[in-house]
Formats: sequence, C-alpha cells, structure tokens
Amino acid sequence: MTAENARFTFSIDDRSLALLLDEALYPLDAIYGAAYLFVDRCYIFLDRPADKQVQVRFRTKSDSTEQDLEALAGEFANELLNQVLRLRISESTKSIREYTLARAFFGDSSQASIDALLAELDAEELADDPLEINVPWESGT
Amino acid sequence: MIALRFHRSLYPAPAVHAAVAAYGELARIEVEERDEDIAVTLSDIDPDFADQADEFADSFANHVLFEATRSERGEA
Repeated sequence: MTAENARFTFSIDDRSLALLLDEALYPLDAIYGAAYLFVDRCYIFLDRPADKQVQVRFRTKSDSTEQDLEALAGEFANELLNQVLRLRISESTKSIREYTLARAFFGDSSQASIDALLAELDAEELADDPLEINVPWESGT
Repeated sequence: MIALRFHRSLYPAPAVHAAVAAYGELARIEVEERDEDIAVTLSDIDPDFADQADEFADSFANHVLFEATRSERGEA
C-alpha cells in the first residue's frame, strides 16, 4: 500500500513502513528526535534516496496489521510536527535563554538591587532621630 | 552475512564506530568507510542470536541511530 499526501509519502508492507520526508520541511534534528522516540517499538533505518530527502524505514518488533502501521505513520507524522515546533521555539527563545543564563552566572544585578535599596534608605530624612528609626505615627503627614 | 549501508550525511562515522564497539563481542563486524556511506558487514553472529540475524542487524542499526541522535544533540 502506498499513500501520498503533498510531501508526506509512505508505503507499507509486511511489518514495515517507509516514509519519505522532505528535509526542507522536516529538519534532520526533528527527524532524529521523532525517530528516537520509536526505537522501543520499532527498528528504524534512515536513508537518503535523493538530495534533501530522507527515507525513514520502520520495522515493528512485534506482529502488526496494516492498520497498526498506518497508525504508526500518523503517530510519527504528529511527533515530527511536535519536534519541529520544539526546535522552532528553542531557536526563537535562544537569545532569551542565553541572556538569562549570562545574568545568572555573570551579572551582579542582585547586589546592584541591594545597593540601590540601601542608598534609598540613606537618602531618607531621618536625621531627627538619632537612631534613624522611622516612626510612622509621628511623621504626621 | 548481513550488509548494512549508513549514509554519511545521516550517520556520523563515530556513531557507527560506537555501535561496532558495543556489538563487537557478539559478531564479526567489518567497516568500510566510503565517500558517501559507511558499509558495515555482520558475520559470525553469536549462536545465541544467529537464528535472529535480521533482528540482530536491525538492533545494530537502532544503536547507530541512538549514537547519531546523541551526537546531533551534542551529548556524545
């Protein structure tokens, strides 16, 4: 059996399934990530039949019906999308993560905040009180 | 004897060699690095697995995939 839908093609025969993927749509990183999640249920082999195309061949570890293999193809397709999305989010938030890490490791923002608070306290007019303890109910205003 | 071919653009050579190291005691494994791919030949498979030679070869390929994924993620 062979099914083709736009750029997602798969074929099924005895206990095995082969999908042809366009690397322009599904980066290799996403293909690795998705394939790896199926190694407990299937034997997986990658091949490159043409430039920018990756063939993913699955052979199930236990007996499977054609319906099982079709379901597997759909599940893999969903997982591919999931992996692509994870990659895109990871790329789009990379600078934020790097900035946060850099601040956590190398910044002195916490010390700067403490210094700013101490400076603010020092700037308050508490000279009348020798202990410089503010008594709010006596401030009158 | 079973021959496998790992395309270099999909399976880095260190991933194949790591799998060879892991399976080396269970079979005779020959590796030939070619321009486009790495050819692996499995023979003299351990008697415990000899009647499941296809599964043995597929498991080997899964191990190469595992190593390639680790390598791609910078974990290797």
